[in-house]
Amino acid sequence: MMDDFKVTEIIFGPQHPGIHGNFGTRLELRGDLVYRARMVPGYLHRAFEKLMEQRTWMQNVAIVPRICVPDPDVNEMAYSMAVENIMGLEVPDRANYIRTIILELSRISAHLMGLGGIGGAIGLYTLPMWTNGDRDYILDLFEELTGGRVYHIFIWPGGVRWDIPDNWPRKVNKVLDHIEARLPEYYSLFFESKVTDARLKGLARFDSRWAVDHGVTGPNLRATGLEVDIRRMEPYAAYEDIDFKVITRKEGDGLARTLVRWYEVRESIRIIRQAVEDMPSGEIRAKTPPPLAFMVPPGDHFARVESSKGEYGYYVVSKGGKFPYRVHVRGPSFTHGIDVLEQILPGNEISDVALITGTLDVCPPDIDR
Amino acid sequence: MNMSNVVKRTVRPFRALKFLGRKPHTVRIPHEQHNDIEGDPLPTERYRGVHVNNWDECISCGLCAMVCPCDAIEMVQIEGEAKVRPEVSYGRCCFCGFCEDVCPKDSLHLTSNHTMLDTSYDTFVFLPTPMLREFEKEYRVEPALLCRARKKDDGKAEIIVGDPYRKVTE
Repeated sequence: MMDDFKVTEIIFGPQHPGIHGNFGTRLELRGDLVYRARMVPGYLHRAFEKLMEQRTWMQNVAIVPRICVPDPDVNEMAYSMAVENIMGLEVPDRANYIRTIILELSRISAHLMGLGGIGGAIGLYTLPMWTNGDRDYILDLFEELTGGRVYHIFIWPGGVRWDIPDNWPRKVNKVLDHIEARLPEYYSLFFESKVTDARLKGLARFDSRWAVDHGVTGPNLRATGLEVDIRRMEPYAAYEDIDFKVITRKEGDGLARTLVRWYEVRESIRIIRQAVEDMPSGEIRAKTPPPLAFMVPPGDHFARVESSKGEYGYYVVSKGGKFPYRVHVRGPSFTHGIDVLEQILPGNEISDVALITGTLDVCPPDIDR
Repeated sequence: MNMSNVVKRTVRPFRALKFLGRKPHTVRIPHEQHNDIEGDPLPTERYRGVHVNNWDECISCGLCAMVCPCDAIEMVQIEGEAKVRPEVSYGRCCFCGFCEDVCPKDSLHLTSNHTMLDTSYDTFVFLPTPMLREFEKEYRVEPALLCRARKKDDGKAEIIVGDPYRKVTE
């Protein structure tokens, strides 16, 4: 039956409003069903892994956040964790709490942006307007704390760069109150809609066995029912002292993945409130050498953190001296955006291609690096 | 799904219509001041924008040029000056602020000024001086120091300094 149709090949992205960033998809269509999909990454390749071998240890802190633009802080965190582990640095408690707040704020902002992307992919343009407008309050907070709205360059080996301003915790609580009050509005607009049910229910469903086989991590894996979260399994920063739930759903479809993100925003708000409340006083930086004389003894370490997209890993090798010998990045979008999409797109309609990419929360800068 | 549920799920999303009467979220920069959630003006002093350098304090050590991850800072010799001074290329600068951190005399600063518009590339390679700090003060009071290019009748571009929108509509 399928063979009666003519095969049409179209190139979907990077110049397409539905694609999530600078990467393309080469689709073979029969009728309006996808028959075969090939991902075309490489438009954003900046050779960061190689570049890091020619920059000093501290200069690399300015490079790593560019690996994932919507959620940049996890990169600084994973890189710093690896370097600290090789050097045997002990990070002060206060720095750990500030790091936790930053990481969770970054997770909320990335999830809000992701939710907006899913709303845009089904033609509900009110949701991206709302989420991006509310995300801006978080960017304002980042601007006041770190001096940058998108690339914060704030978490670095040994601690954080500056202490928090006096009235900043109060502002954080206000922004969280605002976002918490807005979440039910998102829910009634998006999740209580018949259109969302029709478009997202049962979309690109996979079970946990398939997900583990294909290297799916993060919210996409938790949407299949597995309680996998690095924050719980290998606590870093201050997550050990903080009480939080790992959000899971059983269905494993597009709606479950979106709902996991929505609930994670609420959970992140809880985490930040606790961290702001329990923030200890004290130092914000361990004693480290000055940036130009920053030497790391020989050794290697693999550090991993939980980002809004999935599991981030940094493998850092030092042979002693001013430069890293090798820095390898394990990004979650590489598996979600290449392997999983290629396997899961065939059989779906062409109108769902952008939506599936959105529900998997693919971040192209992280595919190319 | 029963009938009442179907009606509910059809009607619920339209509750968003109540936001039609609210104030817009958008800030019309530079006509309006961008504020944070408590109404404090942004950007704050921590913002990493255009550099200033106090030449009386600067000892020409060149640490800023050495620490720069983008190789954006070059120490240049100026006529009539005994010492070399840092020159910043904003095509390269990533605004990480490491040069400010490493400066032993605290002479180099990243200001909260982020508005730089010009038609010439050469404008974006310049020597940070204390003058820019004065510029920044002016900018804070009157947020209309935005430049904008306008095409004239003879085909050449003209730079308009000041309130760009008002001048263009004149």
